[in-house]
Amino acid sequence: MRRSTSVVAAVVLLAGLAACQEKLEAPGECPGICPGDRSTVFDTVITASVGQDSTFGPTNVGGFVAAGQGNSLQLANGLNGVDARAVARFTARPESLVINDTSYAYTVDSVALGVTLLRRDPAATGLAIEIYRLSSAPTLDSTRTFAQVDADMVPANLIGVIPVPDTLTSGVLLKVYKGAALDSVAIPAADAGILAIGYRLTSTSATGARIGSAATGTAGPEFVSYLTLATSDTALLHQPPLPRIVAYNGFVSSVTTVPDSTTITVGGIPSSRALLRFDIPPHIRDSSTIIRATLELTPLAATSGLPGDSVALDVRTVLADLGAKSPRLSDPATRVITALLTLGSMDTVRADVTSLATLWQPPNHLPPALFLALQPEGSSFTQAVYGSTRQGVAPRLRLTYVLPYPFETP
Amino acid sequence: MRQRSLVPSRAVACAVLALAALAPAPLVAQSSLFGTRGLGIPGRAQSVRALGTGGSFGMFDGGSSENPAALSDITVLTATFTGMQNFRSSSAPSGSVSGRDTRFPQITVAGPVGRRPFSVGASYSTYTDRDFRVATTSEVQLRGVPITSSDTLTSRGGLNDLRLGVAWRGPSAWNVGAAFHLITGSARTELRRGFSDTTYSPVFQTAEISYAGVGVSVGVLHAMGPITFAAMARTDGDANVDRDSTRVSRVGLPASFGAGLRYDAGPRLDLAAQGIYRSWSAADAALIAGGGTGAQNTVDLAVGGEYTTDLRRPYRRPIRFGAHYTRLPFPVLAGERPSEFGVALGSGTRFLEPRSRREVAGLDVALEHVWRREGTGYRESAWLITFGVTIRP
Repeated sequence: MRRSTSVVAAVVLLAGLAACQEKLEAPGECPGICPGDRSTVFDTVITASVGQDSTFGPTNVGGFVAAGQGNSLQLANGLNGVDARAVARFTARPESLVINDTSYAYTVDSVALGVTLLRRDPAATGLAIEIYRLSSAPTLDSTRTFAQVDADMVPANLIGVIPVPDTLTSGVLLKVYKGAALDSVAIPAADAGILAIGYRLTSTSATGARIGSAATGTAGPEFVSYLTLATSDTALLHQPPLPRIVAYNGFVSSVTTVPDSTTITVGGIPSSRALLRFDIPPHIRDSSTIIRATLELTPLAATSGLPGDSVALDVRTVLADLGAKSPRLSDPATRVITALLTLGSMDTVRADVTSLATLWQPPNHLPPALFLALQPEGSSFTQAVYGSTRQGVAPRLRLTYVLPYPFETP
Repeated sequence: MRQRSLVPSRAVACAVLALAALAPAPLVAQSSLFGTRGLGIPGRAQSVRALGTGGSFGMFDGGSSENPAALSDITVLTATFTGMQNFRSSSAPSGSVSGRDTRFPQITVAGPVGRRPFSVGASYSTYTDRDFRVATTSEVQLRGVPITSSDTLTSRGGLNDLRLGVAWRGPSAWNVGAAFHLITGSARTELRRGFSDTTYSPVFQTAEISYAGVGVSVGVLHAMGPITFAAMARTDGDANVDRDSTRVSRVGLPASFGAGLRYDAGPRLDLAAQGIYRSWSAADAALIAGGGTGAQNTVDLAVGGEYTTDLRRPYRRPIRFGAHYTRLPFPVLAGERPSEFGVALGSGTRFLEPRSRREVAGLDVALEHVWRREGTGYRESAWLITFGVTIRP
């Protein structure tokens, strides 16, 4: 009896162990038992919906990113026929310092003014940044015009020149004032401790540069004072530097470019964006698997800009189609597509937007629209202009997709 | 010689152990290269005892689900559990692969209705099996550029046949039976496609294909001296095919007609032969409309016997043998005629309660070697080890 039980148990256990392993493979053959035979890949081109591709910019919505709100400030010396000056207003430097409830007068030992060079034309030589004191410092803001700024940039207001080494492509540039030179950066009493300065690029040929803006929190114009307190307390002799944060920075240009509302225009100052809408056939949108989606834009003019600069098309989809106010999806890891633009090129611009097109499908069902912008926005010298449905050169979406496999009839 | 016996509790324990060991496997039969098309490869709704005879005893065996009249053979409450281990080697023009899997092809519970001349039974068996995985590579033109595509199609599941039957033990050795069949089941399918150019996203598509249909069957058994005659007829109508709960089509299921003879060739030997015709072409139109390769009618033929080695204890290790030949309904390539031939060997034993000498449990095993082929390109050979546990509480 025990032997029978053992035999039965052994057989069952062996069967159970075997049951844990499974190998279902069968040889495939094309044609014949070939999954790919029944899973056809389709390729189609869908043009933007007529009249539904819109540019939103200074002429209709006031633009998106104004001068100084981007990550850099423009300096131009005849670049593409444009001059640009950067300006900065710093918070007031107090007349005394309060330490432990005691107010101390001080003397300024030295002052440093600086900028951070972000981009320049590496082929340009003899670059220098001139620093000018601007009039009416407390009132410097975005209403200051190019003519007003340029009028202040006269030798009498020149407070320093920072040469840019030809080999330097990016980095911090400082001008330090000591001794008698301090007089040039002294702040008149009428300005209530507020310093406003303008930056002008000089060079041996027409060129430009981008310097850091305080709008992004780092790398903005610098104004640092080094002080000695008027006190006999030796513990207070060594004071840390006194930096003044940027209250306003921006730039002004000699030329204001107004985008043509009949084109697809991105970039510029203030920046323009474009919204493209596509009518995706239901059988693609609802049930296909999109394996590749490519946005194709036809330039109407060669993309201009600063040689050596890195400018990219920023393509995102929207959570809801609310026109210019459509909220954009902003997950940088997967949902922001950037396509580097080649300056001077008239080639069709292509951006792989597969990860965005799949969001138009279930379960997300986002509107089939693409919001275009330029990176860096409100900063670069580039304004890209592409054909639109109104121009007869419509943006195109090339979709490669697979329809549902006919599992029910293999 | 001391009688081998097993107390009921141990028999039940063994059965439970078998169930537990096989629980992860779904209720389907063996997977096959020839199960990749249509509704899959048809199952054989037979007990291990019948399989050991090549299937020739299927219409005479109460543990099988082919003939409802055979339920009359069940005079005590009986439950059987069947497990199958499948080792196969398949070849196509592109190459060969080996595979294995373990499945539960058949569960039955049957018993008499009191002292009346009726028996009733329920069984759950494989109708068709759609277990397979196929991997291929091919070249496709994407945006005018040749790209290598690696495709894998996987299916797990199939159609099952839930049968509720009743048989009547009539006078003059006439037994008749009828059954209602609920055909149900699903296949969880998935397709994966990858491309050599990684700018194309991989494809991953899944679907659950479920089926639902009903059928009825009738059967008769009649003994005339040493010869017993069996016949059955069955119709299954159409099955609804749903894809992820959405109705996509209806597919015709076959009508079946079968007949068999069993000959008592002496105290030690029983011989049997049977044939079943199935009109699988009922599914042809729907499958072709969906882009498949269609379906063809089939004939199953089986011959075999059972040799009793110990006349005093006929339940102890009889030798079963047989062979079968069948057409397969769903060709890999349209217009081809796939077929299967197999030989079988089997045995088993029963365990008695010591005092009452009543049979309380049994263990059967069948070993089959089958060869399947289609044209000159597609071949498959498989070893099928089927074991069954019978409990008569």
